[in-house]
Amino acid sequence: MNRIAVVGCGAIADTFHLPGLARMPDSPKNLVLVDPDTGRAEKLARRHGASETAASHRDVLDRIDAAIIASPHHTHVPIARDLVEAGIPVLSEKPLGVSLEEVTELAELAEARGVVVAVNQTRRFIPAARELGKLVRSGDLGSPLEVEAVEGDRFDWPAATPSMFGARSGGRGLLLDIGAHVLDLMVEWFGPDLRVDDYLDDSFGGSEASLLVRLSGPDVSIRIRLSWLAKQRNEFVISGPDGRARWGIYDLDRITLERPGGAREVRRASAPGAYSDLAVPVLQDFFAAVGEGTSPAAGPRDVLPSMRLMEECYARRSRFDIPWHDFDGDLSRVG
Amino acid sequence: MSAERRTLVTGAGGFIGGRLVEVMLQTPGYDPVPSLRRWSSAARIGRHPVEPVLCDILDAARLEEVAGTVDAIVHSAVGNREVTVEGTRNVLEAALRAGVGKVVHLSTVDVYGRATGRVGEDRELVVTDREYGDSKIEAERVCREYAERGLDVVILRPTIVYGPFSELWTVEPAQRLSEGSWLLPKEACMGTCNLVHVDDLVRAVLLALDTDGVSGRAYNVNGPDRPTWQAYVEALNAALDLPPLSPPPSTSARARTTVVEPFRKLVKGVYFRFEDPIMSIYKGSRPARLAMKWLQGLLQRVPSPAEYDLYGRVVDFPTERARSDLGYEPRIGMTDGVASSVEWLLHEGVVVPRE
Repeated sequence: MNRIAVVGCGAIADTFHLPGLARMPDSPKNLVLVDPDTGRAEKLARRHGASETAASHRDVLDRIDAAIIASPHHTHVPIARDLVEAGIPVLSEKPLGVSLEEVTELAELAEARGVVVAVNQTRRFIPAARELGKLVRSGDLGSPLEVEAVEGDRFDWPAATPSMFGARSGGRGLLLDIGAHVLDLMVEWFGPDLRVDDYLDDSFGGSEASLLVRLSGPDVSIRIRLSWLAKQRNEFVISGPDGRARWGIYDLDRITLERPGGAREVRRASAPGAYSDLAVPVLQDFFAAVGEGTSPAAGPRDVLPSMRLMEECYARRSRFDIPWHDFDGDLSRVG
Repeated sequence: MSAERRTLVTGAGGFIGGRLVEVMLQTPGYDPVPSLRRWSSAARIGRHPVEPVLCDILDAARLEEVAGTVDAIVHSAVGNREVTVEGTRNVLEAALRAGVGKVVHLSTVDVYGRATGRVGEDRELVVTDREYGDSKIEAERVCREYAERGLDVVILRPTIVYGPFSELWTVEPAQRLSEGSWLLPKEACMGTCNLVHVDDLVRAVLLALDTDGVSGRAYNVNGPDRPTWQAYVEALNAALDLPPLSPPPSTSARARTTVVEPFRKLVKGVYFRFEDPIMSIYKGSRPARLAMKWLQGLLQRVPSPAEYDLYGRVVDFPTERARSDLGYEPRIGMTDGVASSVEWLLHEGVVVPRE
């Protein structure tokens, strides 16, 4: 597989996929960068040594072996559909789609055509997160479990377009962004039968930037607090009658286990140092699925449960009580 | 006002510009056009169904294009000297060329330097060694130049602007208090804290937008109270439900400042020159991350000489001129302002309540 198209030349292509492709042992020789903003595509092509640019993925269907979709969220499925229909395997950024319906249709199409579709659910590749999953499945913490996931910072992602914000976002922001990662982990750890008990955010018709989700499932209750507005603790805590596990989300290689007798660190050797280092295993997983017929870490069927949860959240969304947002409206003049 | 006034807000990704956009969206008669330098600062205003425009105020051509679509401009973008001075010139030039009816320029009381006593708008502007205040003096000069050329431009000089989303005067002190690292002795904090709640500042901006015949004039914008810094910090501490302050004795606190200051300057200089490699080390190595966090914590905890200067200075910025010309009167006192700030801090998880 030497001819790869990267569709969408925003920040994730620039900082994750393209450096990742360059660091792969057999890095693809011919890269085609696709973006309606051809100036942006050419800039990234120069920076990353790509051989060709195009304005639309439709212009390159006849000369690529695989494609990475890194365009705005709402375009993932329409682009993936075109590629799959042309028989081209796809690695899509998360979220794979913006509705359960379109993701289900894509899953069916990919199965019918026998074409690989993988989703970059990066956290499935984090050793610490895998350790937590193992711990949950082992039952070592006892039952029932409580999970608290608190994550966020002032938004600083070098977004190249406004597609995630305001009117252009379709009123969907943070949940489709960080939420897609966190909910995917919850489904991976606790299974697909989680239900949404509560969902609050701060949208005034635009993209939410702060949210709270409460989920529950058999023997687990989960509280997820996310923010684009302020630095959070950035920690996952899983507590059970027999102990507690903590994971600081920037520590990719370790978790802390607290038992009645004391606390200890569980470390996984040879873990990546930074999130951007995860690009290589993500890409290798995709290329193995295409070349060797293995199952990708996350395919369309795997993300349906988290997509369903996100859709349920938005369907029942209500706004936080945030009285400081209301201006007193008093513009009367004195004197 | 009969029709909605389309108003460009520069710096709409920031604390004051962001709040102004939010208030305009809930106040009849205003149609804000938020202007951002980078999309990454759109998270707060993006919560509303607005369509921000991307506009670097150093890009004169782009500014002129954007200015051609609006009736008024509130200029709250700020940056280094070039952004503050040349950016302001570009904004005003674009406004003049496009026939924009009114510009409100956000300046600061830092233009008075380290003034003490009662400081009215006619007090001399004093250049210090601080880039922020010094470049705002230059930006004000540019405003007066354009006022003389016929542009309707009003200058507002806010004091200590606090409230939800204020990094400098709400988030930072609250974090220091909640970490138990407020290390300024009480006697060092008996200067005046000229607090103005961001909503009072926004009120002044809206009044200035709607006032004719004051072009070229500058106005202090202050709050209703003149607490000491100690009183402000204690009010914040109490609202956060933290134990009473227990700062170190004055002499040891001063000694720490003297020891740490050269080190602070060195670190700042190194970071300024090598930000990218430093951040890449920070992200890639856990030991480096822990070491840098420790260093950052130390530098944040130990007060700087500039803080001693600010917290000890007795100064009042009266607002009589804004009252008589604009009809401005601040309405949010410290007690209410601190209460809503803390409510926001706790809600947003900026500080975590004590268990």
